[in-house]
Amino acid sequence: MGVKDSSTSQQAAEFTAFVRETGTQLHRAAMLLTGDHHATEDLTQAAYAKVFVHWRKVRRTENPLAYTRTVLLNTFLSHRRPRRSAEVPAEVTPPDTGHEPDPGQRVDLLAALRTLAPVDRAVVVHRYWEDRSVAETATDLGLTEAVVRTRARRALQRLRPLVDIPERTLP
Amino acid sequence: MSTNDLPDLENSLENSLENGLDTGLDTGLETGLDTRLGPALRDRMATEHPDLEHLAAGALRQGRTQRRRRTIGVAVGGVALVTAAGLGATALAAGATPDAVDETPRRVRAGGRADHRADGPAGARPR
Repeated sequence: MGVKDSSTSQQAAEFTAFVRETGTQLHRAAMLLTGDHHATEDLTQAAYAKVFVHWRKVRRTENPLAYTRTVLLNTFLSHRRPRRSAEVPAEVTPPDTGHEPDPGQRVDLLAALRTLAPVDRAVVVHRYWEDRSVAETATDLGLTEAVVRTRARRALQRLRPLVDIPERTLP
Repeated sequence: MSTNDLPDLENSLENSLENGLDTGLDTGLETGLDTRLGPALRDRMATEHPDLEHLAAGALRQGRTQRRRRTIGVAVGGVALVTAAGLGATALAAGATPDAVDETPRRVRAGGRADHRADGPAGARPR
């Protein structure tokens, strides 16, 4: 019994250290996906909780962060689906096509992202925030590479008139 | 039903679209945004600092609850499986030995042994 308690508390300590190390990155990714602080906290916590359930296996994998990132994306996408036909909380309301931002008016990047479909948003976050390749994005999201390219291009087309991103001077 | 619920259908439709549209739209239309979006997203998120202690504590609490539920689910499933197997075995055993369900009453004699003579088949006589 004592050995089990010790093992459990060791797992909890390891997991807490992992959250401290990776939490900021995942929280920011969740923020880009949901565009809302409360939904971000819920999503991040739900993803980490799922990881903790399998922590004994996850900690032995080559890249626990990649696993957690995939769990986060899948949790985001799976939470979206049932809500479409049910009651939808305000913070995760899909973009209303009747009240889209005026293309002539530049909006915040997060607000612009929220005009995208959830899968398109996930593709954008994967490709441009996580800096993952088309092939990796396709694998993680369960899409084909052609679909990832199409969705990324469509998302950029949609974002282009909404956001004003200045040219960066190389350091 | 949305296209997100049908990834295969979605993939095939998108592949068709891809073949038809690939010729013109990639030619530099989003090239600038393509290269600037990543840094812009990082800049936008640079000020986001979560409460990591709160996050870790919440995730631990939720994770432990899920583990407990999972353990209980496995235990209940195991018990149900064993019960079902036991009932199945009993039913099979009962089916194989019809005597086990003989419902005719048996008299017990003073000696304590069951008296089968009175309950024997019609026409059977004790020796």
